[in-house]
Amino acid sequence: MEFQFGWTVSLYLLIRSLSRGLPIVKPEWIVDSIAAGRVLSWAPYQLQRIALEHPNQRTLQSAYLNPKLDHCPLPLDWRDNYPTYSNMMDIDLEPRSELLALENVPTSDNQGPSSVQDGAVNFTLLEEDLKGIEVKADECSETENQGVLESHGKKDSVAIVDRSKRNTGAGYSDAAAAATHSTLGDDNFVQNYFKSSRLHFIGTWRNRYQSRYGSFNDNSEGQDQQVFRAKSGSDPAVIHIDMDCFFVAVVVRDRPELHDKPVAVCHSDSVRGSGEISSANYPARAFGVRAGMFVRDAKAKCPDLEIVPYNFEAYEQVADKVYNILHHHCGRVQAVSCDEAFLDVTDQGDPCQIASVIRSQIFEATRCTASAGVSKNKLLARLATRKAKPNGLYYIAPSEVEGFMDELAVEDLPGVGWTLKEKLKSHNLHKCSDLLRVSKDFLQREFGVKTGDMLWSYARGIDTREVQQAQIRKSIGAEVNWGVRFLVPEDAHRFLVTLSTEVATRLQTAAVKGRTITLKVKRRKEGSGEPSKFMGCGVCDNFSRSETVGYATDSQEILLRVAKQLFNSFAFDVRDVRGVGLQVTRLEAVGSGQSLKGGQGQQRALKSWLAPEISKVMLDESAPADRNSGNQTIIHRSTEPLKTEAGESIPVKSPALDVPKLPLNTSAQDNNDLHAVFTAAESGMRNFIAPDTKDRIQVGRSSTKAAPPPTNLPPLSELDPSVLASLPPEILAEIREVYGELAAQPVVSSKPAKNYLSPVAVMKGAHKTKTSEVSNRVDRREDGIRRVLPLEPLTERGESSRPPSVRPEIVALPPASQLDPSVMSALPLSLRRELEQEYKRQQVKKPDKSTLRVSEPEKLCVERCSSTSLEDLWTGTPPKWVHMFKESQDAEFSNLCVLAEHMAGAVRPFSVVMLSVLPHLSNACSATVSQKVIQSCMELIKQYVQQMIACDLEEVCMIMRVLKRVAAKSQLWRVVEDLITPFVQGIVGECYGGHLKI
Amino acid sequence: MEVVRLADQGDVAALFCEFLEVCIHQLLSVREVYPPAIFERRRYFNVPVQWARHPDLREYIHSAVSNLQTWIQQGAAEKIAIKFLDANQIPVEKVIFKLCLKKLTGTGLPAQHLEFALRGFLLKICVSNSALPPLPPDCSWELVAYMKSLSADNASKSQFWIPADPNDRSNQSFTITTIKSMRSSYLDMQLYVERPGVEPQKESKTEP
Repeated sequence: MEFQFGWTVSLYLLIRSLSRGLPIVKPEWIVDSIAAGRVLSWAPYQLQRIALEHPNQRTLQSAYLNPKLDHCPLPLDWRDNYPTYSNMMDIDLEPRSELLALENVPTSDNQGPSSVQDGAVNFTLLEEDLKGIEVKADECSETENQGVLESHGKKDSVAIVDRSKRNTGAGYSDAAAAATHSTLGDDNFVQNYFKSSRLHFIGTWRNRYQSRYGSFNDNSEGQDQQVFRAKSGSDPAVIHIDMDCFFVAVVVRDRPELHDKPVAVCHSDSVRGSGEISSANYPARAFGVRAGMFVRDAKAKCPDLEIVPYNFEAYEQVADKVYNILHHHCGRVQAVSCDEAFLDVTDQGDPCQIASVIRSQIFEATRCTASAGVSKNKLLARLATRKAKPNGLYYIAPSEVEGFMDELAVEDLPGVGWTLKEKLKSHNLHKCSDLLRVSKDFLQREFGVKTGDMLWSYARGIDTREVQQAQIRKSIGAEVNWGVRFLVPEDAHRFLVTLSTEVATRLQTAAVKGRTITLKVKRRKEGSGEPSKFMGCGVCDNFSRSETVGYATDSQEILLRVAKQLFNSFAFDVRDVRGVGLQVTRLEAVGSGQSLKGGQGQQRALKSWLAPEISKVMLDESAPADRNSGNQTIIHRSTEPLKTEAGESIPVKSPALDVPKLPLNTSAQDNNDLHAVFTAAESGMRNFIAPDTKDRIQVGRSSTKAAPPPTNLPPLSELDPSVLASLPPEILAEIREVYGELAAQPVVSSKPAKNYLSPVAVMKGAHKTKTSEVSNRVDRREDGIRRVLPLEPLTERGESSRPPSVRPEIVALPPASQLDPSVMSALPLSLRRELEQEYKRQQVKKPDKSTLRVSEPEKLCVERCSSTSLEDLWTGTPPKWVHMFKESQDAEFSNLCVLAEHMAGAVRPFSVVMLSVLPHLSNACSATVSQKVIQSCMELIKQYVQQMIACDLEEVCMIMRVLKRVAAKSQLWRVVEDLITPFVQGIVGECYGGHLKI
Repeated sequence: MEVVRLADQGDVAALFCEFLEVCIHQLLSVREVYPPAIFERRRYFNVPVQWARHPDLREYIHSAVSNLQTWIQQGAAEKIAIKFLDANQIPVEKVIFKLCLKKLTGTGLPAQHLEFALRGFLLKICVSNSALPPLPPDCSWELVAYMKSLSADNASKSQFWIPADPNDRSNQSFTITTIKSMRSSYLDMQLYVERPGVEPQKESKTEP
């Protein structure tokens, strides 16, 4: 620690270990902050800024700050009130309380000490103090990000504290032993690895960006795009912003001693110089230092080269600030990476003006320079940026495009790499002007359709790519190719544990789950020795294998299981493994069951569609009207989307009820007992007519004789004959009947046949309709086995017990028995859940005595069942689970009772038992099932396999085959099979080293 | 009828070795390593089996298996594999008997039970051809015993068996086809076939 006394009366405090990264600010910052009532940006107050300040930036700064503050000079008497400290150390503790009080009691506290001596005494806060600020600042920026970005001043009131890299940056351990820098002997290798990996930073940054700006984009996109489209007459304008040697600049800005010195960023600064330079500043580039170079080569070119470590926290903060600024200026921002972005500023005024404002604001906020290219499309903007660098702005006017492109060498075009360049050269094409000479056909013939097309249009400055907003992530993973060394398989397995944990964490952070798990392995190329880069991967062969699990997961356990299995399947000598990557694709957003394809917007749409409050209001309003109009509620429903894959919402349109149709409770979660409801009826199958008619089918289901005719049926001509042809004869007969009837006497009515057209509206409390009687009868007739449909008789009883005078409760849901299980299962998980919950809620809300009487014990049973632990299911004779399933009166388990009964007295192996009850199983479990049942079945099989694996592989194989057969017919077992297969393969791999052929 | 009782592990091992010998003959016939003409039909455990007629082959199998008996009895041998190699001496298939002898207590157990169980294996072997693709022509085969621990004592005792190349554990991935498993109070045994699976698919270099 040293004190240094500077010129005149001002006092600098330079504490070596503290000043790095910590901003040294003028005391006015505190004073002004108090005056403003919030933590202001310290940037304008920073000491270093004095030297850097430019005359024209002062105006920007004032535009940037809250104008009120700007015109409000500090009251002079303040200074007199403040004590003057000659000893800086006294300040240490007191500013803290001051700063913490800042937010809550902004103006009351005038006692706050500060060191003021002609406004030139500066102070440094100790780290502890700044932590306090940081927290505040984070909150501050958080709230701002959520909404208000309209004020310049507000936007940047983020105090950055950079205290992160002291430990890692303080000193590199030159004697880096392999043991501590490889997967050997370092249990936290993976975490540490990702802490200091630039690629990792870039990768996860996008994640962070999306979570920060995803919603922002979505909100603004609508209007913005409308504006954009509406005025699309005018010239398009694209700005490309690229930070100047970002990775270096951010580090260097806090280390003034490095200004104008050649600096490069590298993860290590070992004597061997085998680290790779990831970024170098312009002084260093002047020496020929380039990214990707080994440190020792770079040092050879430039002996004074200063190597600095990464400072990821600072990068993140700077990137966030930059994007705050960008998003403030433009709604259409395409983030290319943390330091590079495209902005579409069409119709927003002079793009050069905007770009220069952005650039100066970025500099204000981050003290890092950015270069900007402005032109009419992305290609030209990017090329302009190249010309603008460093720290400049270049505009290519539409009229200049031709001249600009002509001068350009082919390799300067994005997408033209070394190989393509050589190829072009061989055709004597060196410049873009050369490319203009040749035909598109020639280019496409020589370089492929896509590349040829690209070259042709790029050479003319044409780029049709639009500025895209944050893209949907397609995969999440983690890959380690450095320092991976294993001696024994256990090392590799330990490594997989950490890797899978990392990936699971990332999935959870991004709130997605994935279905396909891919393992990439780098294996040392035969004959290649130890790589030149210390602990690097060297020359490798790349292998990858993937496995798709039954449903999307973010569980570390499953990832690990699959990863292990995949890893074992390679059967490499672990000593040759140089890199391992684990990647999860086919992502779905957590809780929605929706594929990410549709994006967040769609999710939101679904949410709003399902909004429970509105729907209830609507329903209540419509109720009396319905009563008046002869107790009829009509729901119009486009059934078409029902047959699309899960991930689509179901648009429902109704003339009577305008907004949401299904009063679904989005918040409720517990839905266990309702699943029985969906053990549903073959009658639901009849719903299937509707989907293929492709038209909005309006369905009327009347409950009284006086009801109007079902005019909502699609015209006969619109029915798809091929669909009709494939229908079972009885249904066909019904259709004929209806259409025949319609033709004959249009004013008569309610026939059961209408059922098959997805009835969605039901009058509860009305008289039992003929329709439901018929359908129930059909259910029984069609079912091979008598199913457990507990709700159906109950509802009937409940309804009939009610006097008809009671105001009927209208619910826009079909009775549970009318639900088509296959439709249900095709619905997105979240939607399904909500439906199930709604049924449950209705049941609770409508306390029919009979319902309660029966459902209470059921509930109890469920609770008992779930409270019974799922451990040791196979202990005892007969196994524990037999009792468990049998005793459970729960309908879900009753399906499994058959299994339990057969198992009870059996001496035969489980697979045989299961095979013998196969028809029962597949029939009984065709409906939606709850997590709990799946869990139970999973555990059942899992534990059985665990028990059998060592001594009876044949039985394991058998059970898997039986499972496969059951799975072909039953939703429940399909899920179970999907989940269990990776597990079984994993365990077989562990015990036998191979892949079981099932 | 006299009830033959298996008194100890020695008896079980003896019965197993006898059975193993039959199995090897049977497998050679079923997998069509040799032309059918060199086999003759015999009966073992009341199951028709094929038995090689060539005296040298018989002798080879017999001596190999009987030399294994001590190890099996001691429980040292964990797996016994019949390894089929193609013309280039590359393993194409391994038929593996994985066994685990159990300690017998009391007066022992009747042999019929074990014989009955083993008969199941023979029957399964007869039909195993359907589950497996045919072997390439010009196959050779060898017997491999996987030991849990190989003491010097054991190694010296039997000169017939030579230690295999420890790197033999082929680094290839393979697919397991189960043929038959049994669990009993004498021994647990599993018979399965390992065949090299598809090579891991090569991927174009994807260095970020």
